[in-house]
Amino acid sequence: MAETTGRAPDQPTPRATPAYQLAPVFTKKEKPVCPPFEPGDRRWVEDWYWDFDNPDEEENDGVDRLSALPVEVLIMIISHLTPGSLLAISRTSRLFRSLTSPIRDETIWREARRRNGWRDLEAGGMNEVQHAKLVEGRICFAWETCRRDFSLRTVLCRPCALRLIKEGDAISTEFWHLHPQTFSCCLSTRKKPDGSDVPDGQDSLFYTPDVTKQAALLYDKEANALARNESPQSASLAHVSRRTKFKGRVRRDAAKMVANEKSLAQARGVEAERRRRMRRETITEKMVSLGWEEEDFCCDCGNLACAASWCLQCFEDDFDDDIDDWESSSDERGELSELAALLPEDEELRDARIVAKIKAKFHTDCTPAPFEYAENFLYDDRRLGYEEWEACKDPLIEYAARNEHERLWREEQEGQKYRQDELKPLFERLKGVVASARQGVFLSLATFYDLSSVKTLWQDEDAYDDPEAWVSAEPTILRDLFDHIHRGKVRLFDRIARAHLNDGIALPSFVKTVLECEHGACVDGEPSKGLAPLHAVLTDSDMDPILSRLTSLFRCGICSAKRSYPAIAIHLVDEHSVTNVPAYANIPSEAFRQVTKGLLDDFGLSHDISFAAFEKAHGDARFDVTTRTSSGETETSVGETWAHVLSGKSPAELEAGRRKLSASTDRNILKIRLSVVHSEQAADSSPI
Amino acid sequence: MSARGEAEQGSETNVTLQTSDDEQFKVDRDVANRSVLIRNMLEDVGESEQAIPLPNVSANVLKKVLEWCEHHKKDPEPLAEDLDDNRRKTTEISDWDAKFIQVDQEMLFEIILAANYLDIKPLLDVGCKTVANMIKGKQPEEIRKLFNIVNDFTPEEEAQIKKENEWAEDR
Repeated sequence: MAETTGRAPDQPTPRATPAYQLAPVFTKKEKPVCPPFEPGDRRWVEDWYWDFDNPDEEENDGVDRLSALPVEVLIMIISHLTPGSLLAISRTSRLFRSLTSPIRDETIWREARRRNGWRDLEAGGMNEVQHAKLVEGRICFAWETCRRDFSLRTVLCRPCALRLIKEGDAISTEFWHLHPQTFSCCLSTRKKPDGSDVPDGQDSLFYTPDVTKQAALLYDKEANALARNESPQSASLAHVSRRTKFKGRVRRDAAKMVANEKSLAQARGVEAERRRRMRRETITEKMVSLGWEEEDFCCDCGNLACAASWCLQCFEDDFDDDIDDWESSSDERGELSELAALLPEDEELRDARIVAKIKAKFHTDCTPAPFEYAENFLYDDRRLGYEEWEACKDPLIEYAARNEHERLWREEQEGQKYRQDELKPLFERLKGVVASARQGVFLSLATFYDLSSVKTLWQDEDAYDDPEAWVSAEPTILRDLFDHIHRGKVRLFDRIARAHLNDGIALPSFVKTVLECEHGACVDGEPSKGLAPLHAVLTDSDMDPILSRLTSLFRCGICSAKRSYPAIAIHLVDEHSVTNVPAYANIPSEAFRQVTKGLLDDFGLSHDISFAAFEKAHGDARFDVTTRTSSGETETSVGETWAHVLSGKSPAELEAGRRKLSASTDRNILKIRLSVVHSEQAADSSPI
Repeated sequence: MSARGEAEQGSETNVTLQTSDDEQFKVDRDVANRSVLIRNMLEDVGESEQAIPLPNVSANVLKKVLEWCEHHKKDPEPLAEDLDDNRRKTTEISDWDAKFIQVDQEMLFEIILAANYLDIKPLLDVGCKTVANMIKGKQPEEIRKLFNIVNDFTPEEEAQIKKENEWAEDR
């Protein structure tokens, strides 16, 4: 006892965190409905159903509060718009049309343009509204995307662009009357209507209306020159040189616009990412304020309820390390051939295989959110409105609740495992105490933990806080242990004694009475209900003489070895870590029992001779064992040792390898005789 | 003497505001001073125990506005030229302000109106930028739907707008 008190107070430092103190339903303001967590059950993740309604499309109260704002405020709002949104709002109603009218104030348009980086045109030739249309307008509202070409100064929907932007030759074929100088005057582009570049060496493309207009202008200039009696050639050349200068300026304008368009797109991307981050933070704040732990709805990668089929971010972070680890470990284990086999594969395929391996190893717990939910709610870049949160929060709460169940379950498992490990020294010490009293029979560690008196020492976290409980629990644990071992013994005894009754082997009259009165060792055959009344009064002195007989051999349910009582229990626990000994300690087949009887008859020995006495007399002898093979033929194995006979396997099978030892099929023994070959040895060793 | 001084200090640093629904708010003078309207009134009236009536602002809106003023009470006074600085990007709203303004449309417009009435220029700016951001990237029909704007163009005007949409360049 002094030993116990000395050890008990050393409290562990790595204490497990509290688990399952209060069910979440009592601590959370939002109560989810979810099934309890079961390890390995991912159905609730896969069933995660999500029906998304776009909150922008929801009906609102129908009041136009914007138009009701004072004009000076509306002008402030308008002064923050981009050229594109100015165009859009000027087409909504009379109020906004008049507020944005360029006749009233062109500066709004100019400032919007300049604020967004669109510089003044070097080539000129456009008013502010036209400029706005060129840089951000959408000519075809039916088409989401329109082709904007700064070199041609056009904004066209795809069908129009395909129809009107062509090579010079194609236009000349269509319009055969073009002035020879026409194309020198026209704006040209190196972008095809589909957005791709015109390959080097091919001609530039022109805008057909521009081409015909320039042809007309050239003829017009020449006509006017003729009327004034001037040279038509010099008139057309003057126009060409003016247009050439204009084209140069347009090209420079276009280059600046392209650059600005890119930087605007980049800025939009940055802004969208910022809004997404803020949305994430808002959702996190709301969840935390509802009482949820961040770790239950955030992935390690920092995203909410990861959208990838596994956690993409933490996977990417680990990817290189994992591949290196995997490759080096493959080398070490001599799996080089496996790696080499992968090498000729397509690189993508190879990566996919490695990914699958790593995923199986590290990322099985990552829980993805349904794609639509993640895209439309978690990662969207809209500001999060109250209504949207109210409408969309439930799946996330459900998700958090389930993750919390899982987390608490894991924490509890870890805590219990830790407390169990702390009990191991107690197990070893009690093993010494009990084994000496019960012929060496003890329980497996798992059975020990499962005893009700031991369970209270690790199952509940509070149990650990009281080291006194360990000391005071010891007598109860010992009683439980003895009781458990005794019950197992009685059950085995009942089994073998009935076999004797069946085989006509003599039994004491008290034992006979017990077997006849009770139909099983346990009440209603149910071990949990306890021993049957008469079995409960059986003592060791009643059972031991019968259990020690040679005819009382048990067969191991796992490897078919034959052992008498205490040995079979020790064998099962030590060799096979069996938790339930009676379930695996079988009675040998009737044929084997008859063979044992026959062997005793051959020796002229009584049926109740003890196993130990027989082994002492004939343990060194050799035996011929006749068996029936699976094909139905008989076979005799000559000169087996006593240990071979008891092993449940033929010597050949024993040599074939360890794997066969675990096969539970017993060999079908028909006869065991003292080996003739080795009879001299046998005769020498012990004449009984 | 010193106790008296403190008492004076105390009465000077607190201002009582009375909303349209007769609720009273007691706030720091620093906070109240964010409103040019209230600051001017205090300067005109001088020290007074009386509540300042704000007949155009309701309690729930004032609460929100004061939350903004409280957070921004240490902000430096903006320079006159900053207010008209056109180079500032419209999206420049600080994270705190952006979260503050994440309210429903009704509250958003109430805050804008209150900021306009109380003459809190930076808050009005935040509100206007937020509305501008809501308009950005949308088609006319989407804007009408978002704000319930009624299309009051005559068919002739519609035709005119449609014509304007067509590409036309003066050359």
